[in-house]
Order: sequence, then structure tokens, then C-alpha cells
Amino acid sequence: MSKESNEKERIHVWIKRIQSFFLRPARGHPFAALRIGLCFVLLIQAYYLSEARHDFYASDGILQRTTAFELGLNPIPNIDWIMNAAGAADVPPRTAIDLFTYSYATSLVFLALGLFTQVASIAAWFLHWVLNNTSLHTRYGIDIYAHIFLFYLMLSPSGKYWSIDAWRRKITPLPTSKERVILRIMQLHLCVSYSVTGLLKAQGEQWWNGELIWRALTLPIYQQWDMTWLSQWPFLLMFAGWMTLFFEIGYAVFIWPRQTRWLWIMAMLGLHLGIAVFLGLHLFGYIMCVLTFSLFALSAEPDEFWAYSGVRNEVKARSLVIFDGDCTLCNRWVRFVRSRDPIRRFVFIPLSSVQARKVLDLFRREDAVESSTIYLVQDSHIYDRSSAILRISRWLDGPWPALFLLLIIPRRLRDLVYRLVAHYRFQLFGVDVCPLQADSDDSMITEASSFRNVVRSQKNNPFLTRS
Amino acid sequence: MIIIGPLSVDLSRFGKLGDGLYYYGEAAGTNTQYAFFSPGISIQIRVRFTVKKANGSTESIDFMSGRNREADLRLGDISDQFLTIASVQDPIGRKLQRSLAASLAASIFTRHPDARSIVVGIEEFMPKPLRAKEPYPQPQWQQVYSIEFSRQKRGAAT
Repeated sequence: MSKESNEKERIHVWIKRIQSFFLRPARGHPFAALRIGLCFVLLIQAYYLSEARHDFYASDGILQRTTAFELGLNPIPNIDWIMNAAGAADVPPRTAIDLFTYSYATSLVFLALGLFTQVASIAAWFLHWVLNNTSLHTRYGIDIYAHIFLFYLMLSPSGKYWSIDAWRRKITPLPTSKERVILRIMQLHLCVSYSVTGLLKAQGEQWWNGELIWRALTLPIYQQWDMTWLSQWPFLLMFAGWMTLFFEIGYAVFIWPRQTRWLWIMAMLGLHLGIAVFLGLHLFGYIMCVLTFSLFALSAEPDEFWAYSGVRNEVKARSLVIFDGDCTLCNRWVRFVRSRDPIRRFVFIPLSSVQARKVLDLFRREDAVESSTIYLVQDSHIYDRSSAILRISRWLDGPWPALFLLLIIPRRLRDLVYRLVAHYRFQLFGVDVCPLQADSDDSMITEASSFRNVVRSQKNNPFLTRS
Repeated sequence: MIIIGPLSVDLSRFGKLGDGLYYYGEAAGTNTQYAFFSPGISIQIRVRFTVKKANGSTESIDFMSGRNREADLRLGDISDQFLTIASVQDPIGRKLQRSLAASLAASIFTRHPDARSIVVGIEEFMPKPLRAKEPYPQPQWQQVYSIEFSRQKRGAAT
């Protein structure tokens, strides 16, 4: 009986682990990094190929369409097929190619910026597919991986993060299971591709005796530098071959544990930068770096604050502002913000209040409190001084959100100006005796406190542990 | 679906479902086999054109235009098609080889309106093995196939 219950318990634990692996809420920042990185590399590629676009894509280009079909492939969709299907077969081929290539580049620009992201991602994926199929005999690794991950980007909510869409709609995205599922599929796909390519390479003798690296470095098409001196050191080439096999085959296993993840990330970045520099496969190398970096180096784990679903909806629309209630300048600024915050996103508490002390204690800032400092508690983070002010400006009506861009200025420089104004604020604006009442809303503080306690007591909950 | 491509599963055996999965794989890119540089590298193929002009002069043109690296890699892929064709049994292989050479020659005729004829030469490069016993001859490009196309009066090549 006890054996049976142990067995059930073990199965239950495994089910929970699998659920956690695939369904634990995740942030979508990796999608945004992938979106921007992938589009950036593809735009460079489009720029390089723009001059030769008619040579590669026209039916009477370098590889004439009839010959391409004779070579055995007639994939759809391609440009001719679409033009025929659209009843536009009489459009000059060069015009059609210009239409497709310019539309493709435009969709990449929109996708990179996160402007009309959903539509742009569908257009980029489809047009990339069409252009690839039209010139199928010229494609190589970069096109294969770009096609796969443009497809996934189309399914992912990448526009909710680091995008103009998110900024325009003032979206504060919540971590969800959908993000986790899509991220896991992308990660597993990358793992499979690395391990499969490693296993296929391992079947060739050239990868074990250093011959392949040697040939790659000395074949005219790949030769970038004179590396013939390496023939004096064949063990170096053998070692490079073994390491490539080891890291590629092991990718699917060792990229997951925290202890080995960074070793594999660094190894793969090194491998692909090496391919870019020594074999001249620049864009292929960069795109592979983007994939590993965005899918494995960037954390998708939700902040603890958001992981507790009971709190997140309450906190979602509100942020806490802690300010110096004795300062005229600060009080005027609070009035200014309130008048431009129609949905009451911000809750204000004077620095001298008990509530403010509680919140600062939660964020372990109590000891470092300065009366001149403005704090913003938002999305489980605490920001102070210029960072707080600029982040608040993002949510105000009128032109003030533009100030958010000033965050690109180094923080030390921004805070220097802040401290200067803060230092002379009493001389310039005088002293107030807290004419503003603190917002009588303790719920956030209570929830935040209870949330912290819940997190501490749930450390073993797989939905709250970090991978 | 992620592993169906690498496993080279013949989806046509599964009827309509197989067709559906195949097209999904094409759309999602899962039909890929990821055989990059595997199991090894053999030789490199390059294409060179010798253009004979109306005034009797000749010009030698490398197919890899040197326009930029990205374009050249793609032209290299087209050159490699001759290597793929080499595994096709004659007479189909011979016909494909001629058809591919004609296609490439046509693009050169377009760029050089004064060309009377073009010789398409296919050359291969066998790199020196890593553990070659010295003295080893310096690797050279060797011509393995050539075919001449002439411009006809109407502009077609023969």
C-alpha cells in the first residue's frame, strides 16, 4: 500500500514538473529580443541582396525558372504562383519582384519596431517563405532558421514587449502560460536542430580527425584568412572538431540546467562568431547567436510580484509613488501628475508616512532613504529619482510620455541633475506642510506584504521556483 | 513535427493526413534536416565564363561576382548544383547539366549584348588534405566540364 502511494506520489510530482515546464507563466521578453535581433539580421541580408534581387528571383534570372524546376523542385507559394493566382500574370516580372522584396523589407522594419506587430509578423513570415521558395536553390542555413523562427514569432505575443504597439497602448503585459508554451516549443526546436546536426556531423570521419575544419578553412569559398599554418598543429583542428560535436550534441541536455547553461551559451556564441569571422558566414553566425541569446540567455521568469496571481490583477493598473510631502516643488509635481492621470494609475504616499516606511522596508530601502528622493513602485520594481520621474511621465496624458526616452541617458548623469534640483528645492520653491493627503489606499501595501509571505512559504511550489 | 524532418519520415504514406503534415512542415520549416557540413566537405565547384565578343576579343568572367559576400554565397550554392547533378544517372544528368549551363550562359548574354559566344567552364577544387605527405602538389582548379553557347540572330543561344 505504501509502495503504491509512493509510486502515485512520484507520478504526481512528475506530472507537476511537466506542467510547470510547459505551463508556468512566463514573460515574453525573449520573443521581443528574438523579434528585434532576427529582423535586424534579415534587414542587413535584404540590403545586401537588394541589388541582385532580379538575378535571384526573376524567372529569367541567373537560374531560370524552367531550369530550377528541371532540377527537381517546384515549391509553392512562389512569386509566379501568387501572381498567377491573383490574376496578375501580366504584371512585368521585375515589377512583381520589386513589389515582393520592398514589401518584405517594410514588414521587417515594422516587425523590428513592433508597429502593427501581428500583421507585420504574418507578412514577414509569408513573404520570406515566398522569396525563399522562388529562389530555393540559393538558400542556406540563415534562410532555414529565419523561416522557422519567423513562423514562431507570428504565433507569439512578441508585440507586447519592447514595441511601439506596447508603448502606444500602454500595455503592461502579464506573464501567462501561453508565453511559456510557445517559448518551450521554440527552445525545444532549437535543441533538436543542434543535436541532430551534431549527430549527423559525428557520422563523418572528417569531424573526428580535424579534416573538416581544415577543409572549411582552406576551401576558397570560405577562406577569409591564411590559416594554412594550422597544418603544423593538427591536434588543434581535431580538438575544434570534437568541441563542436560535444557542444552541439550536448546542447539539448546541458542548455537547461542552470549550472551548465551559461557554459553552453558562451560556447555556442563563440562557435557562431568563429563561423562568422573565419568562414565568412557572417549573417548565419549572427542569426544563430540571436537565437541562443534570446531563447536561453534572457530570463522569461516572471518577477515574484507577478507570479502570485492573487496580487497581480490588483496591482496591474496601479503604481505607488512615494514623495517628500514637505517640499513645495514635490507637491506641485504631484498635483501636476494627478491632473494628467485620469485613470488614477498612481497612488501617492508622503515619505514621512508609516505606509511609505512599510513599502520601503519591503524593498529593503528603509536604511537608505533620503528625503529628497522620489520612489516609484511599479511591476514589483522600485525606481528612484530621475528613473522614477521619467517612468511616471510615460503614463501621463499629453506629450509627457516622450520624456520616457530620456531613460537612455546614463542614470548617473540623470541623477546628477535630479540631485542638483533637489538640493536647492527649498531655497527655490520653499517649504510646504504636507497640504496633500496621502491616498487612503493601504490595500497595495497589505497585498504586497501578504504576497511576500506567500512567496516565502511557497518556495517549493514548482510554479514559483525559477528554472 | 519538430523531429519528423530530421527523421526523414515519408509523410506521403499517410495519405491526406501526410499531405497536410507535409504542407504544415513547409510552412513552419519543420521539414528541415539540419545537415550542415555533414557528414563532411568534399570539393568546391566554381563556374567561369569565357565571353567571345563581336570584335574578336575574349573576356573571362568569374560567376561569383564579388558584389558582396551574401550574394556570392548564393551564387556558390547555384554552382554546387553541378555537384548534385553529378550524382544523377545519364542521360538525365547530362541533360540537366546542359540545361543549367545554358541558364547561366543566358544571364551572361543578357549582361553582355556584344557577346557572340560563351564558354561555360565548370571547375573543381580539391583541397590539400590535412595530413598530406610532402611534397604535395599545390591544389589547383581543374576543369571538369565545358560547353559553348552561341548567340543566334534572334538572340537565342544554341
